Amino acid sequence: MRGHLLRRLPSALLVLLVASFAAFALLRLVPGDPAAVLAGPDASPETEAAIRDRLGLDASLLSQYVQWLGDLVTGDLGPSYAIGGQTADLIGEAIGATVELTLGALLFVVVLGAAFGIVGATSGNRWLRGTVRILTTGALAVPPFVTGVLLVLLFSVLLGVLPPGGRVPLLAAPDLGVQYLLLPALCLALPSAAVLGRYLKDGIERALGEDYVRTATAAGIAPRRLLWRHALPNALPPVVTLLGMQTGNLLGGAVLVEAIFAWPGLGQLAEQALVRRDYPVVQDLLLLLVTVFVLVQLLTDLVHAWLDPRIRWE
Amino acid sequence: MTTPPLLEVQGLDVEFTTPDGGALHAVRDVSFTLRRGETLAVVGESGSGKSTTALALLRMLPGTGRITGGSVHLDGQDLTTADEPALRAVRGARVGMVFQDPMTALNPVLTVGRHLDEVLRAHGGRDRRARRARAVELLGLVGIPDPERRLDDHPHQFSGGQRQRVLIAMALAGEPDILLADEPTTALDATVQDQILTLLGDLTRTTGTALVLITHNMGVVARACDRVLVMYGGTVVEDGPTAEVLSRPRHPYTAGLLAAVPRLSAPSGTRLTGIPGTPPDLSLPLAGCAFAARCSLAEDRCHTTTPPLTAVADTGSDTGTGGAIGIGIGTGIGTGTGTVRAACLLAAERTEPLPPPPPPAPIDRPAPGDVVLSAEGLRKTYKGRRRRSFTALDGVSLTLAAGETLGIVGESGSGKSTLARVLAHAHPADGGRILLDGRDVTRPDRAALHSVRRRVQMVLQDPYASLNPRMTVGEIVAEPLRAFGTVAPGERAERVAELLRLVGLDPAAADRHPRSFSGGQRQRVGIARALAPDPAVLICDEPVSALDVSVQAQIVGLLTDLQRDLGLALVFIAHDLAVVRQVSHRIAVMHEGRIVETGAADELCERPRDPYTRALLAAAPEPVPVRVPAGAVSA
Amino acid sequence: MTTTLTKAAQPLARRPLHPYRAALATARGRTGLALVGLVVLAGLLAPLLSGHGPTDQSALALAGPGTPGHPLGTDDLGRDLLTRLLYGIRADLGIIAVAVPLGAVLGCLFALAAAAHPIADTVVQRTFDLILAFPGLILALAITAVLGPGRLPVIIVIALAEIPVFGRLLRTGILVQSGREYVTAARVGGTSGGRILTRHILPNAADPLVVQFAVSLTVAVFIEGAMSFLGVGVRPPEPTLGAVLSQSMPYLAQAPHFAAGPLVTVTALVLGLSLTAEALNREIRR
Repeated sequence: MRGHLLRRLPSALLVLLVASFAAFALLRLVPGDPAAVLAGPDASPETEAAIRDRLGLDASLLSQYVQWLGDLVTGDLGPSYAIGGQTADLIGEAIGATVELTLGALLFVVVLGAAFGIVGATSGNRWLRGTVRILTTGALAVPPFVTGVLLVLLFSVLLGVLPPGGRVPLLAAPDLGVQYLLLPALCLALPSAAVLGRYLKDGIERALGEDYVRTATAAGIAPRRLLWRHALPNALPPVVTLLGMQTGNLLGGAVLVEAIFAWPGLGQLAEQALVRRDYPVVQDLLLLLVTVFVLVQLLTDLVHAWLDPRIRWE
Repeated sequence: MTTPPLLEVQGLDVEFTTPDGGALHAVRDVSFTLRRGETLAVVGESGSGKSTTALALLRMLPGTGRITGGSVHLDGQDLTTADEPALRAVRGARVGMVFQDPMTALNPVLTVGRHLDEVLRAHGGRDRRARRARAVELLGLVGIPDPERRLDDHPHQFSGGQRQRVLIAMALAGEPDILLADEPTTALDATVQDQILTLLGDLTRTTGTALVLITHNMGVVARACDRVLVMYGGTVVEDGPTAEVLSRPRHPYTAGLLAAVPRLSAPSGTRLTGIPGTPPDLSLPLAGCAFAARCSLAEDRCHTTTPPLTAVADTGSDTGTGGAIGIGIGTGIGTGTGTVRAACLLAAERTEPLPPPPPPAPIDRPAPGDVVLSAEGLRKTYKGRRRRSFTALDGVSLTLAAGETLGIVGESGSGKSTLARVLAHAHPADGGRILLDGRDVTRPDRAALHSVRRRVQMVLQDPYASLNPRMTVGEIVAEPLRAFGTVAPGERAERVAELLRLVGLDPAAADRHPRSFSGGQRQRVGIARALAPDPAVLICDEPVSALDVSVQAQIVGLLTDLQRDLGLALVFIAHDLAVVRQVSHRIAVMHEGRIVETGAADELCERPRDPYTRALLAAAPEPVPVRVPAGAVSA
Repeated sequence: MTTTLTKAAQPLARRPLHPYRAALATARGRTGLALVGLVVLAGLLAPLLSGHGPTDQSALALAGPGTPGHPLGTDDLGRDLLTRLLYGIRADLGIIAVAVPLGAVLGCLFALAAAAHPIADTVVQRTFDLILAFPGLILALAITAVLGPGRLPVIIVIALAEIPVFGRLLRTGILVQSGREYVTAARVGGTSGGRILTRHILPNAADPLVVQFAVSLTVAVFIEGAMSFLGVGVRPPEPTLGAVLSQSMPYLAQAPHFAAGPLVTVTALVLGLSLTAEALNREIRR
């Protein structure tokens, strides 16, 4: 188990390292003097000088990079020039919103995915299986911005039961918060739920066709137990890996869903920072998102190894 | 016969639906009975319907398979009409089943203890403690050492033979009346097969469980069962006491099959008689005898009248065959009583068994010439995962002369396939030398490699995987011609046709893709491809182990003929010692990457010196009584 | 020669349809192709089907469908919605037709490079990991940050997203096929490395790529739309499907017809592509 972790760690670290280079390079790649770009067209030379000083733009690229990493480690991210306020505070607020959205979506993914997969693979009802197939095909094919618009049209415009956008923090006002969370979370979750459901369905069907299930059937074990105790444990490890990857996708998709539903998360912050050319914020955000992404993948690998005894004992 | 039969199968029909909507008649009108404690072998080649019959008994047909007629009575209960709960009460409790491949038949994420526990739970529901105690007992019964501790291990921590033991323990957990074993030893090495057959024999004898053993291996039949049922094209062609059927077959197919089986006792350089033709097309409705198209005795009526399974001889309580013909058969036989029945119009009208097959004919083959290929101290190590490496070849030396066949035998993992690949320069050797015509060609440069490959060609094991599915047979055979430029582009088609004719294929085959050919035909294509550059050495890596016995004999015969006519030097690799002895001048026995013994074929088989060779010879199930020309072989 | 001549066993079977053509002849395949064909045709014929320019404004803002001269109505700036829809399809097709093949070709080139040498393989693998480590839309934001909004960043983002997808698929295919026995047989038969790759391995590894190509086209539609929603897509006022839809968002309550056109079109296009991909996949797996 520890060996497994040790084997995965180097490549994860490499990804992080290169991601940090890329994020760091971003500001330096933009045409023009970075300090002037950051300060905006109307800024005084003093502001520009302050920015230059703060980011150490006069120093060598290497020392700039080291200084930035150091700032990240100590949590001193400095002020946001374009948006205003401290970068750390901005990110802190936005993280809460994005985590809330992602977790809400994850819940939908797991519940819907499991339902799609198990019903699709085992239901004796042809119509039910057909419905699930159409639902998954649709959820997979139709882009989230289309589903988002449809959801708003249906639930907000037509039925008027849910708000079309915005956010009330779930912890502050749970009942109201849930109303705001439902649509964006569902919109974000649908494609991943469909992928998961289809994968689980294929996995269960494959496992049910394996020799060991035939062995168990010949031994007189009941179908329900065959499904839950024999086929599912085999179908699960790859699905868990997929769930991990989908969590990463949710993180990426959140950027779009936040834009559709005006959800004040990291994606919105990134978009705002980009539009206002606040590159230090973009730089920090980029690295943060990649880090979370890499961590999720690492965790997924470990859970997979734990679920599959063939890897566990290696 | 006063007691009613335990299992009575009557007129069983099974059909599958093919992807294009047609029907495949896998089992047609199969009837047989099984008495308490009896051991019955169901033998046949691929497509004979033997495994499908077994699965149909417990209504476990895969995919589109369905029973379309007949009945299966177990102690009077008709299983073809029983509902699911009733079937579940039968599966595992009254009929236990063991499958072919122990590597896939156990659930990789469950411990062995859980496997047994699941079965015990389904059929008893005693408390956990009692189930665990019984699981330990069962593992001990099937000969797993230290069962208490091994209970918590996962399947991948067991060897293939041990997994098969675990599967047998699972099948016996419900104390069934019948043990249904579908090719239980086919995936195992000969020495392990021997142990498993012994275990099955012991267990059925001590517990009084009836055994239905499905196999393609005549040796296994003789070794393990009182009675045998021979199947062909979905029908039962012959049924009777093992000793009687194997020594005096009544049905021409049984006789042909027996003649095609290589025997360990037959001397080197004898020719096997294959059964010409290919198995019947099961999608066509059955008219007449399924075997008529391949039968040398067939008359017109055989093609139109379906022969009933009729009694052709009654051996009574005396099996009457015994030592007179010198059967080297072990346990099993002797208790077999009853009637021999055959589904053959001609056999029904005859009281005498078929005349014995022509004795294996010695082939006139010229004496080997000069050494063409030799290897000295070959080494090959594969790097495994996590820095574990595996030494496949550990100092292997050999020589091969023109016109000579060197047989190489060994069990799985012995390194024999690696040796073939290294000799054919498909993989580089890590150490040692390979000499071709006296020149060192161990690490040839591009040009030298090209000329080496012209001289050394290879026939691969799997006739399905070794032909590119996207190319026509003509293109496949022409590839080496193009690569070596031996034939002008305009004459390639002609040369391809010539090569196809040489291996016994219709030159019209050139325009078709490999998928429209049977396994034996594909192997002929593989041989034609290998012969294309006019090689001096042909390395055959298990060329017949994926083929049915009757087809195997054809291919072995073809290789022998080609050697004689073209003066080829052959390396013939196989795990079946009997085939190897038949075709080889000399034999090398491989074990764990080394050649443990090498010698003249007959000498090595009759007077083995190495303990491993002896074990290998002892484990090979001595198939059937053999009639050899007097004095040709010592008994 | 005592060997008997074995006749080819079965009678010559009816020459089976090429799997791709068989797939497209199924109900699923036909529906998919018809949907895609309809949308593509509408885009290609845009100048013939509408009498307005895609950016022509009129005084008639947010007119409902059926307004004379504006069968689908007009948007908030009084532009004809049918025209914007048709030209939007055109713009999308233009982007997709460049970006997806670009990504596919680059990905395949990477995979071929990886097949050449173990070190190249490691480098290529890490590169793919790296690209995939960035959530797609974050990457889109970053690239647009450097290049500014426009067609080019959209094309680059789509191509970049497709490179590892095609690359990994082909790499796996090559690995699997080169382990097959027929490749060993060809090598022993003297066939050169290049010919083994082009004649033996690639034809057998190509099927999943064809399916993936259809899937990737839908992904491209998705990325274009998403980038428009994020305000980093094609520069307004040029219409794309995503741009028109995102512009309709603020007016969903008062003028739902604004969103209807692109909603239906995008759905038809991606459903059509998905159905085609699924039909191909089923036929190939048989």
